[in-house]
Parts: sequence; structure tokens; C-alpha cells
Amino acid sequence: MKIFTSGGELIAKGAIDAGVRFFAGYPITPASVIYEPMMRELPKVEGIAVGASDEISAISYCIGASLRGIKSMTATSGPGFSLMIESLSYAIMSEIPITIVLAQRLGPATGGATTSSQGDLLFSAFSNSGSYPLPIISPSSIEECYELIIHSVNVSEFLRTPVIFLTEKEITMTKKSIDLNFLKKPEVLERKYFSGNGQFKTYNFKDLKDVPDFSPVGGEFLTRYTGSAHDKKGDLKKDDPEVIEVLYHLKEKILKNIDKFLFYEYFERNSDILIVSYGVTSESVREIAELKKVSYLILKTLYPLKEEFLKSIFEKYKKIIVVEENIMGNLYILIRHLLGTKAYSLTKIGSLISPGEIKNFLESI
Amino acid sequence: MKDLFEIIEKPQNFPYCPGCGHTSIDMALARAIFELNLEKKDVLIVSDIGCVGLVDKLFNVHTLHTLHGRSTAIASGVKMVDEVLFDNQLKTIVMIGDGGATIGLLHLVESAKLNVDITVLVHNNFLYGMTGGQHSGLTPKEFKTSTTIRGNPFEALRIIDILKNSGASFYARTFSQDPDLKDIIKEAISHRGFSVIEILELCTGYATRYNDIKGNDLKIILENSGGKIKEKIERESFGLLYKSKFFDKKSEFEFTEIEAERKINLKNPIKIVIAGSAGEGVQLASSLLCISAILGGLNSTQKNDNPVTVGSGFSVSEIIIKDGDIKYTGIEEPDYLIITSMDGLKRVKGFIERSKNIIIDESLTDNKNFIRVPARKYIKLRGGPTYFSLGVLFGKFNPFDFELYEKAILKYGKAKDETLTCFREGLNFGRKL
Repeated sequence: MKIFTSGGELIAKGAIDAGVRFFAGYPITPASVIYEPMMRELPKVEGIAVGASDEISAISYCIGASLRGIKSMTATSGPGFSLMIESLSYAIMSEIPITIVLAQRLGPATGGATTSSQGDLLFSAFSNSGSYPLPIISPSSIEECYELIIHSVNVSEFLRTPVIFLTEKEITMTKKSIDLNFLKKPEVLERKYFSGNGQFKTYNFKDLKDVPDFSPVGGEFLTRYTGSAHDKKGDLKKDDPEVIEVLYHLKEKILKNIDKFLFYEYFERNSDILIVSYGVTSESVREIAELKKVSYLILKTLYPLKEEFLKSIFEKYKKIIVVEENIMGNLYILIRHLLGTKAYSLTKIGSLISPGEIKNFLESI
Repeated sequence: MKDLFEIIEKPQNFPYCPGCGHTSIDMALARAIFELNLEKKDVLIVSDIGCVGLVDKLFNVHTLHTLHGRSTAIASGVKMVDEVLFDNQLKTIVMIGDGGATIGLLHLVESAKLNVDITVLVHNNFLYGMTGGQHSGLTPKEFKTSTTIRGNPFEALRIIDILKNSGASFYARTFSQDPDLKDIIKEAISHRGFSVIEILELCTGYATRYNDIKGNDLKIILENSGGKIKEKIERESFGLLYKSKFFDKKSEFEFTEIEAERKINLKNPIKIVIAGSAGEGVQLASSLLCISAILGGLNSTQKNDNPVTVGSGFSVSEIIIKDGDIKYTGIEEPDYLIITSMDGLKRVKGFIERSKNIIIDESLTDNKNFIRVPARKYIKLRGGPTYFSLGVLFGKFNPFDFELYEKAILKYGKAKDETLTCFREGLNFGRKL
């Protein structure tokens, strides 16, 4: 049995299989293809899907639902994500798990609603006030949407952080024949609840990298959640060393746990050339790398990056080409200090980068 | 609970300025919770930004300090889940100022519309107290603030009128010194659905600095701006409505499922681009082509292109059919390019030189190198030009069994008789070429 489906539907299916039971959406191309199946499917599993009056409401509803203890998700594109940023910062500060699907389209501003693009990596990586790290995970094919959205929800839950699932119009809206039996389903992980041993503090941790045990609003233990600078108890404070400690913890719990969400595909050939890419462009890279017998590295965790790991791969090559569909070379900017001297940024906007275009570039260098 | 001060700090420990209305409102709320005999764990106070947001530390219940204006929306997310997926015991009370109510007005409107079971206390002291006494959307006309030194020239938003007309099922309006305040809050908390109380109060830090005003004047301001109000309307809350409306059937995730009927031997991938006009069936006919390939044990992809409107302009689908895994879903050199309208022709001009075979409506070109067909003659039938042209493709080139396409129409299509007729006419036309 096969299905004929889109990345958007697979994201919805994966999210539900990951245990997401709350979704709030606002229509926007190319993320409506996630909103619609969530509205259709969530009630069937006794979940809640609700249309919001704007993207600020959508993410706010998700934050509230997550605080009550339910896995929550929303989906949007560049313009809607722009509206969500204040609340995204809030979710980082108050350590609330939510998954945000960011289906990229041509920017800036309303840009091109139906034109694919990969322009929002830097935008999403540095989208919070204070520039704290948050995980960005990106599927490199339509079928991978299923597996990686489950990973994204998992990461969000066990690290108590917002996670951005970064994808593109040509992943969410393109349809493909898929064999359901071949979809990979990772183990579903849950946030860790406070067990009742010891004193409950909303933001308690021993090591900076520890994730505080969760307790929901309305639960047995009184909670004190806040988006303002706070101590471990959740009390708003200023000029207190514990407040600064809590802030460092927000960084450390992501960076020190990076191995738990390091997703990539490295295909090594006997070649001097490495192609690096992500998202929808990966499929062109796979096609041409096979034909031209070159190595490739597809990054599926796009932020934060494990630099020493990347460096150990990059060191093996004489020429490295970073291929992506945007105007500035977003990934190239993030990793250029690791690339060595012979590094190239191949970019384009307006349409997918085809295998032929990468082939021509390979032949020109 | 034996003692009121199990749930609230003693007023002498409050952080507010002397005489601030927040003290009266917090105490009225605490008494309301106390008299309703609620468990601490069954109360959530959601605070907004501003002096009103200092409330968290004062209450020994669940507290949630949010963003400016977003308190109502976050509280609504909590309560939607509590009502639908939990035991609906959590009393959720939003503490918001007039500034928060202005910047977050749409959240209030939406939660009133959805009748989410929360209670909102709008602390209306006519200005932004924490940031220096600037005017807000709820500042009365002629009222002086640090940004309306000569008096506010505009009328205040009538927040209760707005929320009443948005569907709030409990709404009230009073002032902070009202002896009834505690009872009104009790009623609001007990109400199942969206309840809101606008409470006029005095910012002793700023309102008194710019205006000749005392606490007793609040009653006069209240009377002059619509008076005291308290109304209740019986209406199903969000959660009850959601459960009764949606939780009625259990079924599997709805995918388009296709069981292969046979295994076609296909040496090379087939790449087809179909370009026409919106509303002429391009995307559905293309999906059916992909489905027919799956019926034949093959793989397929469909990448669509259309302007931001779906009902006008061009509509293009790129279809790849392959025995094996398809990676890149775009097409560089189509084996077949079908063009059924001028919109389509304009959009795919770049493809023409790169296409091996071009099937085009005869009205669009005189070029003898193209296969010119009378596709648009079928415009009155649903998707006519597209299905006819696809028939021509199967009739002339026989890429794989045409019966599979007919089966796809019959099982997954729409207006099946019309589309099947067009496809067969095309098939016959193509066979004669």
C-alpha cells in the first residue's frame, strides 16, 4: 500500500504520532497544508485544533496548552513567524516546549507566497531578544518530514524549549508516492515531570545543563512561570546571582545536550570535493553527488551547530561547496569560519536549485 | 483554607504605591477565592505586563506572568486544554491593565467570541503606570497624562461594549472601591464561559499628578461613562462546544491510499509538465496521473506552481514517474510538455526548447513541430482541455497502460463521466496521429 501525499500531511501525521494534541493555526501559504490536516485529524484522537485570529494568538494558545501539559504545535511561514517572535522569546525564557513549523517562502515581507525559498535560517536562528540558542531541525526530503517532526517534538519536550522545524514550500506542498512502511518512526519521548521528591521549584536545576522537572499549571505543585528574569523558584528578580545563573542555564541546556539532537547525513566518497546542503536542496545534491562521485553532507540539525564535528569532516576536503536557495548564503555564513580556504557558496532564488546547476558549478571550479 | 492570608500576602507587603487601586482589586480577588473555597492548585492567576504584573508574588496559587497584551491568549490556551482534556477544575484569572487590554485587544475579542472559560479583570487606571503615565486606548476624553498634557482629545474605547458585542457571556463594569467588587468577581469566576470585569481605578503615581482627581471621583467617572454594569448570558463554553461538535468519530488519518494493481516495466523516468489555466483541472488531472503510475507499481511526484490566487492565472504541474526513488522533484527537460491555454503557454515558455514532445492547443500556435490538438473545444466539460490532452499523450505515445489512468479517474477523480469522456476522445485523437 502506498499513499500519495505531501510533506505537509506527513508533518501533521508525524506530529500526531509524536503525541501532539494541541495545534493552533492561522492560514498562510505554504503552511496551511499543515493547519488543514491538523484541524481535520486532531479531534479524531481527542486532541484540540483551533484557528487563531493571528499568529501571535496561535503561538500564545500553544504556550498555554503546553503549560497545562499537552504537546503543542503551530505552523507558519516568514510573515507569520515574524509576528511570533516575541512569544518565541517568551517560550525560551519560561522554558515551555512548543514546536513551530516554519515553511519558508520567498522573502522578505510577504515576498512570494507560492515560491519556494530557503531564506529564513539566519532569521530563525537569531530570532529572539538576547540571542539564546534554540534548536532548528530541517527535513531534507518529503518523506523525512515524518521522522524529523517526531524528533523535533521530542527535542522540544525533553529540553523544554521551543524548536523550529524549518522547511520549504516545495517540501510541504509537493506530493509524492510514499510507502508508509518505509517511514522511520523514532521512539516518542516525553518531558520529565517532577516526581514529588524534594521541594518543587518551577526552574530547578543542579547543573547548568540540566532541564528542570516539569509540573503543569493546575497540577498538584504550585507553579510560578514567567518570561521575566527570575530565580529558580520563578520569582521575578533583578541583580541576583541566581538570575544570571538561570540565564546561563538557558544556553547550556541546549549547547551541552547537542548530541541528543544532532541529525545529519554524511555520504563519503573517495573525492576531494564535499557538497554541503540542507532542506529541499538536498535532493538535488544527492542526485548530482551520485553522478559526479563527490561526497556530501546534508545537515538536518541546522542550529546550533556542533563545530568540532563539522570541522573534522571539512578537514578531509580540498573544495567545499555550500548549496542553498537564498540570497546571502545563510548556512555558508554560519559555517564559513570552519570551511578552510577553498570554500564556495552556491546560491540562487526564485526556483529550486537543480542538479544540472550544481553540476555546472562543479565543472566551473 | 482557614485563613485568607494563606493565599495572599498581607497588604502591607504589596509593592504598589499608597492608594493604588491594585491593592483593593487584589484583596477583593483573594476574598473571592477564599469565599468560593477554591483549592490553591485549582486557581491560576495569569498576569500581564505593567504594575498589574507584580501580582504573581502576592498570591500563593499557580501564577503565570506573561507578555504585554498576551495574557488573555496564553490563559485561553491553558483553559482550552483544561476544559477539553482535563477535569475543567482550573479557575483561570487574567490580570490585565488598560494598556494590555489595548495592545492585546484582539485576544480579548477572540476569547470572548470563543467563550473560553476564563475571567479577565481589566484594571483600568486610564494610563500606563509603570512606564511613566502615558495615555492608553482606555484613557477618557480630556484626561491628562504625560503624553496628553492638554487633555486627551479622543474618546476612550468602551472595552465592555466591545467585548459584549464580541460574545462575552459575562461582563461587568465597576470601580475598585465598590463594596460589591468581591461578589462580582465571585460571580465571574463561577461563571462557565468568558467573563470580564472592567474595574476603574486610580493611579496615585500619575493620574493624580496631572489631574485634579481623588479616589471618590472614580464613581463619577464611572457614572459619566456608561455606569455600573453586570450582565450574564447563558452560552456554551468553548470546551463543551468543542467536545460535542468534534469528539464524535474515531477514525484513521485520512491519506490518499493506493494499492498497486500490477507492476509496469519502465526503463527510464517519464517527465511531464502540464501547463494551463486555473480552474481547468490541471492539478487534479496531474494528481490522477501520479496515482495511475502508483496503480502500476511505480513512483511519482507532483510539484505545482500557481500564482497567489488559485482561481485565476496559470496552473502548472511538473510530474515525474519513475521505477525507483525520485529525489529532485523539479524537471529540467520534460519528455512531454502539455499546454492547454495562453496562461500556461506564457508560464512555461522556458520549457519549450528543452521539451522532447509538445502537445499544445491548436489555437495557441501554428508551429508544425508541435502536436496541435483541439483541447479547448472541451472547455465546457470539467477539466476538459487537460483530460483531452492527457488522452492524446496516452494515445500517441503510450507511456504506460492508459487503463490505469481511467481507473484513477474512476476511483479518485471528480465529475468522472465528463473527464472520462474527454480523456477517451483525446485517446482516440492521439491514436490517429
